[in-house]
Amino acid sequence: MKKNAVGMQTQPFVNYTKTIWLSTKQQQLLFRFAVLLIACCVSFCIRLFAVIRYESIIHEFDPWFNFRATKVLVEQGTFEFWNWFDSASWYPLGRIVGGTVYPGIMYTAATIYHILRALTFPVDIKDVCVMMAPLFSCFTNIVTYFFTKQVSDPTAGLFAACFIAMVPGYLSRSVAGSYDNECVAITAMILCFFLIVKSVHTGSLFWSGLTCLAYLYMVASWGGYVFITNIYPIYVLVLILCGRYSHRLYVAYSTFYVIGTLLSMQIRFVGFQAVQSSEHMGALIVFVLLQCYCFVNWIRYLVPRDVFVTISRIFLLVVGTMFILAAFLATATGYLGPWTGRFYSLLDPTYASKHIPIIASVAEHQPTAWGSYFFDLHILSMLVPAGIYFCFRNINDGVIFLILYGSFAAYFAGVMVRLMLVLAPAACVLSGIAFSKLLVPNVTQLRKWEQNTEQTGHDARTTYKRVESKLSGSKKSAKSLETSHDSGWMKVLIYILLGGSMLVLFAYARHCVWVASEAYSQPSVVLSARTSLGERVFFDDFREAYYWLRYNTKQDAKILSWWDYGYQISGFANRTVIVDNNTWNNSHIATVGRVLNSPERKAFQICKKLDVDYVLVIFGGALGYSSDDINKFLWPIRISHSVDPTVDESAYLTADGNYRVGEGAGPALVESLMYKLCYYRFGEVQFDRGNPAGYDKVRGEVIAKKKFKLRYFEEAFTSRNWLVRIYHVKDLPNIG
Amino acid sequence: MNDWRRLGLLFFIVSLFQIVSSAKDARKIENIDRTIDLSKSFVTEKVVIKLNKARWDTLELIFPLQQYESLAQVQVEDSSNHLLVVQKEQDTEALFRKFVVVLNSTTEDTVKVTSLYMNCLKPKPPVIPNDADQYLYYENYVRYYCPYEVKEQKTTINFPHSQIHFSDQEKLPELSVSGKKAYLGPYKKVPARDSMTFGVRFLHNIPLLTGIQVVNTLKSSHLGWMQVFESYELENKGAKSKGGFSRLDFQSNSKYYKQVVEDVVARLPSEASDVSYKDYVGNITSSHLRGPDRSKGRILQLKFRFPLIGGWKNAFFIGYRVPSKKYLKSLGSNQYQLRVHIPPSIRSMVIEKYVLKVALPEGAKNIVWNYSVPAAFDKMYNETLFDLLDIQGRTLLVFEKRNMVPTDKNWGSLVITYELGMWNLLEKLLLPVTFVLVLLACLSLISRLSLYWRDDSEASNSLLLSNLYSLHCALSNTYKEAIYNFSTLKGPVSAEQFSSSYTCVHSHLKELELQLEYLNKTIASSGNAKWVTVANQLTEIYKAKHEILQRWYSTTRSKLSNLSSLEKEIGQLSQHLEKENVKLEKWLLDIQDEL
Repeated sequence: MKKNAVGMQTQPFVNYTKTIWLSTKQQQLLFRFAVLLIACCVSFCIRLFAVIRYESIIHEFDPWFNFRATKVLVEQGTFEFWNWFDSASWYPLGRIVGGTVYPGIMYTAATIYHILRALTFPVDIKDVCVMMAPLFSCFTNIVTYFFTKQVSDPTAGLFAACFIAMVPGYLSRSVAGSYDNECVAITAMILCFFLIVKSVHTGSLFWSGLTCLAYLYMVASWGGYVFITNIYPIYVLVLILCGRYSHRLYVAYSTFYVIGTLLSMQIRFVGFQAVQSSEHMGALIVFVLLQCYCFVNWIRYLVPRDVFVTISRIFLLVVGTMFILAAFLATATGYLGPWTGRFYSLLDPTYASKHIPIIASVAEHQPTAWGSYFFDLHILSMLVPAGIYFCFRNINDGVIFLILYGSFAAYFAGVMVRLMLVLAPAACVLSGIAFSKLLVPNVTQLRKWEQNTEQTGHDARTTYKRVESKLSGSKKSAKSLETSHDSGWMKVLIYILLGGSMLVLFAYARHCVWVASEAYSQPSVVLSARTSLGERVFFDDFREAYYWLRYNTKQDAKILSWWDYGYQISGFANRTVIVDNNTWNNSHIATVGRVLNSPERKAFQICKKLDVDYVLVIFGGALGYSSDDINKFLWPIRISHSVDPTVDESAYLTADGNYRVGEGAGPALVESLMYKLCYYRFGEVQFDRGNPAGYDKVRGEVIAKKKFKLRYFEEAFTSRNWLVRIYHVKDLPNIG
Repeated sequence: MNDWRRLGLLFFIVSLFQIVSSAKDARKIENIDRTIDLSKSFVTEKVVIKLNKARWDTLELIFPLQQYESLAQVQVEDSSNHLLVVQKEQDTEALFRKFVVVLNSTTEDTVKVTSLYMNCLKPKPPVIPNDADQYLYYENYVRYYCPYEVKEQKTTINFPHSQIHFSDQEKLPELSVSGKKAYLGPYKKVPARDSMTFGVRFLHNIPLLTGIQVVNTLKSSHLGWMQVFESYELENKGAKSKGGFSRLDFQSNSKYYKQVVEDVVARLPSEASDVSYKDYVGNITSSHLRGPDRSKGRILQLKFRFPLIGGWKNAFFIGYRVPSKKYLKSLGSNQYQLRVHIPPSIRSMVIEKYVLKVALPEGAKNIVWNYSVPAAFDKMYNETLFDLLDIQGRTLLVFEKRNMVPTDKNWGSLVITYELGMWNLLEKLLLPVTFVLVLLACLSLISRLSLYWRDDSEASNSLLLSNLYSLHCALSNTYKEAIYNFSTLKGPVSAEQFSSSYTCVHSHLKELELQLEYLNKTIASSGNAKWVTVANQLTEIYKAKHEILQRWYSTTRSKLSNLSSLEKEIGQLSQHLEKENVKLEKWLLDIQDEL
């Protein structure tokens, strides 16, 4: 890591080193290549903490589904995958996976897998999936370099690549094992940005076509493609308003909209949404607007000024009326889809918690805390304004895009923790620009003083410098640079600046490594803790219980659990689940919530209706694992309240409105199935010497009701540390 | 009539002779002493057979189908403990399977038959409360089932516990029970194929750990290491527990779940290294590796993810590697001999289906295999395996065995001899090296070619071109600035303002022009034809632009009063300049790409 930070620093020095066998150009190329290579290596290695510390395993929740789908794709082929109806989830509804999934990541993994197989490397598909994120982080580095080079200069590109190699905001979603859509999508997104800027700069059809292909890949991999769908039209609008409209822009955007939309419709999950849903309307409107603008410009050349004003007025009126009429008709006939809740909550952060508990219940949909900006971006959060300042100093079409992207990403990151991921690359690019603009002129100046050149007039490079300094309009600064030729204090100042930035970079690298190792490298399937002696101990209860399910239940057993564990159960245990992390059916989830928050008898009745064989709960009270079902229990209550209004949240709370399991716990809570399944026979055990029997370590109190029996459920399995408890739903009695 | 009598007499005499001769030759068994051991999870039946004086070339052993299904192994020894050859006959009878023992000499009179049975102890009742004892049920023939008449025989049954209940005890003749042993017999003059059975139920809290399928894959290699990968699918076939599994009872009270298996021991060779213990969902961290111990090798203690109580299943893999020089021997002239152990490394269970797979190096030919224990495998076939860097695939010998009791003693080793060319040995090493070399060579070639094409051998040339490029960038910027300046001149404009703006731009352009000329000269002196044309073209563009600018200036200066026409002119100018700029930019991009 240190090496990297130093590597970024040495760039201006190496650049001018005279060697016999390499031209300056070649040296530059070699140097850039070396820095990029090191950045790639660093970004790959820093993501391997989880693999080294634990093992090569798929992390968390969603990656388990992606992994399962990839296995289907690899084992059964494209068509089977396309037509895959997953009857093992959302029982008894099932899920049409082929049409409700972003297949980009699965196809990517399958392609890599088949290529490696063809090259006689018999890899396991699991290992391919685990290594996808680090691999794509390397690609992200390279793409970021090109993006930054396009908007600014190569030095800034190198800085940005080094920054993004280990920025925690991106690292959090791309450690080895987190086989999620985002890990490919960020690469695709920056690639899209690079190509957008490139195509707007050149106005070439070739680059616009490539943009469409990159956009297709982005649409195939992540729902976040809507960000591109909206930011590009906004960018076009801003350029027009700035008076920077050009034919290049017209070519780039028109190509992108027509071909890109057609391509995006090929993804089944998107389909006709690309022309129907409100999220995509912005792009269409801007497309129409662009045509009108172009048309108006054309007319302006043909007719005299006064006629033009009248024509343009009529034209605007007609177009405006037609547009309003079309929008009204489309909405009235239901052609335009309504805006989804996730989108509303982007615009209004409090929307979800008011209206859609299922969105609000997800931790990563919460608004971002201030601290996490620093945690996820570290010094970048401070450098972003500087980067924006330098962008405004040296404005061009690409830079405007970068500024737009940065400011939108910053807003969205504030709304949802998860979207910190989108902000991180913007922050890296802007900081890269800031750093390069801060350091490069100073270092050049330093070198100049040291070289003490005489042939100012003849050296073409200096000529260029002079020309440039004149062109940028800052004649004063150019003069001052020349006059301060021998002022020593300036030198000291520059050295201080260099030293300071070295320190900052060093601190950044240290912070990133620390974050990678401590915060973001937990698989969350295996828990670990340190004993008082500093030894690492593992709690493998999840896999223990899931593996038990896999081998000791009927092949078609249905498992009911809160939706968080759905993907894991179907991935690890290969059993049918009632709900899973693809929260597409709110009422089904609410029904499961109703099972968990009802008294035993009622829960049993619902279970029988749902044909449930086993109920699985996560209980951390014995181990001290705080994100267990009891702590999440308010969400099942709220979500089932949104469907069944008879559920009364206050009945689950204490008299003074607190959520407690100890003395004075809400009567409905104590009677609920969740409480009973979690605390069944818990009151008989004393886990620690200091605590009484039935002491819940997470909630820090003795449970309210210690002794009770289960009538309709029986304990089938409890893991070693009581973390996972599985209950069998008893059969109906033979007689009545 | 007389003739008929004579014929009848002759017939009588012949048949009498026949009877006498057959009586003299009749093969009967003098004595059978049978011992049945029920103390383990499999059943050992040892039968000592004393033959009569008749001529015994072969001895037939028959097993009723049900017994045959649970039969794991038959071994026959003569009185001096030498193994005799046992051959299984073709299935001729529907309900029986026949084995034929070839006796070496006629003097032999005592034969020891040891047969192992598995899966014949059934829990009864099959479901018991969590804290109850497990009873097993065993069924067999009261008298040893054989196709010969037996003069006298008796049976001793060893039980693990004194709680023994024979079903229909009063009906069994000559039964006596004392402590942990039961005796049946002695019975005199037992006819052939006597099929009276007994059933016994006895207390035995042992886990009936059964391997549903055990696959042991060995990948031999001539490059140092042999990989061993064993996959196990286990089931505890003991009594199931009533009312699920209670972790609390299991953790706090040893009286509960007496038939549980929590761990097993794998015995690995003492050179084994890189040991792994995994299952379908990842590593299992709860294991201990001890050793190497000189006598026992390395011991790997494997703790299951969850305790295996009655009726529960589990599956996992273990893997390790051993140096192949201990198992692989060169016989000279490209001949190699591979010797592998037959049983898997976990032996504390019975296995229903055992598959041993041996992968030979790619390109092995003339494969001959042989194993020392007769009839050790039921089935053998070949498959093709594709491993790292395999192009044709390697031969995978697959040996299958139904019912196996992998105790330590009675398994020999499998010896495979094959031929492998020198080239096949080197191929794996050379392939990646060649690939990398070819890749590097290609890259180098490409880079050299492109360098030649670019004619970038002289650093100064490159510098020149970059300077030219930057100069034109500057020019282009000046034009942009000019356009910008003029376009901001909207509304009422004073003549001074206009001319000052123009002169500012004009002076810039003049200066740049001078530099451009200087550069063009340098380029012309460098003698690169392509660049000269590029430079000339650029200069032309530049000149055209400058001309436009000058022309426009001279014509518009007079029209300053007429603002609307001025605006139109500005529009035209900017369009012209834009067009030229696009051209210039295209050029610049071309150059940039070349750079």
